[in-house]
Amino acid sequence: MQAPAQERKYGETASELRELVARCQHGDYDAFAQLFAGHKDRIYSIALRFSGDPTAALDIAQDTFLKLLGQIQNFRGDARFETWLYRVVVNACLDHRRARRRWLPLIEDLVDRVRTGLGLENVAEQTQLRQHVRGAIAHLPADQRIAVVLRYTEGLSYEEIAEVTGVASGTVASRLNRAHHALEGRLQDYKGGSR
Amino acid sequence: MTPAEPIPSLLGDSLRPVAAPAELWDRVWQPRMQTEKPGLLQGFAFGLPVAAAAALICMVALTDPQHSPSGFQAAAPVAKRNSSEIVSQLERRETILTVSSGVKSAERAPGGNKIDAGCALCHTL
Repeated sequence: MQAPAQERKYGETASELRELVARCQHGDYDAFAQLFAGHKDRIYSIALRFSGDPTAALDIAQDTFLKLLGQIQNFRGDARFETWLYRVVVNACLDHRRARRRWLPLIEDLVDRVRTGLGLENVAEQTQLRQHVRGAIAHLPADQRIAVVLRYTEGLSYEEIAEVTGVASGTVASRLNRAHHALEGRLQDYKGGSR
Repeated sequence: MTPAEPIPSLLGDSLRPVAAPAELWDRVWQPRMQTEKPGLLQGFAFGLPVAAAAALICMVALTDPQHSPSGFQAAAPVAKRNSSEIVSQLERRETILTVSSGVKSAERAPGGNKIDAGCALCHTL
């Protein structure tokens, strides 16, 4: 049985995307609306996974699209549009973090709940594990967190992450490796507590 | 997914992309719509060249109190050439806007006197 055909969005091919960007650069708001529709989910996802907070993610996504609209004249096509857009959202994430500098102590809260056994019976374990993982990610340094989000939310390769963040591929590998170790350490409590 | 799974697997499952809320569109678009409203600066940006053009036309036209063609023709050659260019620019606009503590609009009647239209603009300033 054939899967139902998914609605195809204009701007999915490289040539369509180039045309959309060119139209945006000439002030065509319809083109911007199409560009928005094609990228809003990934921008919001990166923002949400980085910040761990839907309200902050909305702020970051909004900033990203406003910057995109304001700076699209500067896009010269030297890099892929997606790479350029990832840079904008990564910078928006870092700007937001600098502006807020306060993070919810998710992991402590969850560890306490695991230790005392509160909430475990009422909340699906998988959901809680995901929350726990996301809480642990919130405690990573920003550079590691960005690498983790781009890798696991967007599925970017080490080379692509390196291009977006402006570091060498080896640095990306090192950041991801350190992030894995840090997360493993933080998740030990949960693993021990849930058994 | 279990706690015993390796970290990359846990991360892949926990960090899946999600759909952006519909609210995002409003939040991106509303600030744009607010800045798109014609403001005083935009009025001046358009109105100042028009006002300058109107002043130049009046300068030429006032050489004849009746704004007659003879007065226009008697104007200095350079001013006449400038005013001709301005008149031809005005012909391309169906609506002429000018600024005076805000923005006033003056529509030139079809077939009307171009010099009068220019003077009307000038006198509203």
